[in-house]
Amino acid sequence: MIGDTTSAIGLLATILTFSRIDLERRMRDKDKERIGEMIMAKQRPLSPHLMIYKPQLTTIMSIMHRMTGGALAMGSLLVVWWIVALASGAEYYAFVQTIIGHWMGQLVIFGFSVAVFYHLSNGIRHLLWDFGYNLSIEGVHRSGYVVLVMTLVLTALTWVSVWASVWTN
Amino acid sequence: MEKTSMRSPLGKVRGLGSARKGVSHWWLQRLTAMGLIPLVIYMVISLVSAMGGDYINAVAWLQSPINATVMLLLLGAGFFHATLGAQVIIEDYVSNENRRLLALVAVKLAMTGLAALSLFSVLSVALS
Ligand code: HEM
Repeated sequence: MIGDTTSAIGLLATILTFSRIDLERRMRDKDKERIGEMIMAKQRPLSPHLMIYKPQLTTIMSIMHRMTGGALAMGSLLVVWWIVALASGAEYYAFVQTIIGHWMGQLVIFGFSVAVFYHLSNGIRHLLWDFGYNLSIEGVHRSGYVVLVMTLVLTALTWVSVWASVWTN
Repeated sequence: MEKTSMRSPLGKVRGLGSARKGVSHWWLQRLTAMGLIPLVIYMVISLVSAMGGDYINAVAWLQSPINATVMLLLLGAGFFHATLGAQVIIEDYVSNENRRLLALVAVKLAMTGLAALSLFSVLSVALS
């Protein structure tokens, strides 16, 4: 009885999975056809289609600014938590400190620091654009590489200092 | 001769026009970004050099007037900047008008609440 039910559910799941895959494949084919027709009719789609568009330094770095901005906004919850812990007294603060000290806590803070340094560096790149600098193709690429190097350097500098600081304090 | 219009036919039919908030939003995002540069740099340096202490050290750190002031400014400018940023992201990705309004209101209320909570907590430690 249990065996029958299990195999019936298994069969149903298999059918559902395959029909879903097939549906998705057909939809992709239909999308391509539709976009093809629009191009032929010179009613071209308005924005670059991200699934077709080749990934480039410019596009990747642009979406990374948005992703790090969003991550920082989420991460601000952790900052608030730390400050509230500090205001709540020694006992609760000690509890939060053990979480911060755990390797998973350290990993999250490391990721947060990378997001801060990328968003800071690329934010300065954004502001320079607003002032009219680096607007040529070479300027955009050159400043893009500078941002990547700055992110690496600032992250490395910070964590080396953290180890040195914890060592001496 | 008819005057040349830059508005699209759809724009004319809807007749909504601009809410005239765009420039102010754009400018405040830049202003807060410029303010955040020195605040973030100071905070990282100050935090890193104070790292490794316990509760007493942390409270003393936040009671220093400079650290407390920078923390208040950082939280204020940061939450403002993040709210403006989150608004752009929501307006880009949430196309359903009801859901967009709901998301915008929820994010703004949440950000305001978090800002109030953290600013109050900093003050309560700094002034204790
Ligand atoms: C460290 C100094 C910072 C600088 C220089 C900076 C700079 C910028 C700039 C110039 C923009 C506009 C980008 C655009 O128009 O596409 C932006 C967007 C944004 N920032 Fe920041 N920011 C900083 C810190 C932060 C912090 C601390 C947070 C979060 C708590 C944050 C969250 C965001 C978000 C969510 C966006 C919107 C992203 C988008 O529209 O794609 N930023 N930032």
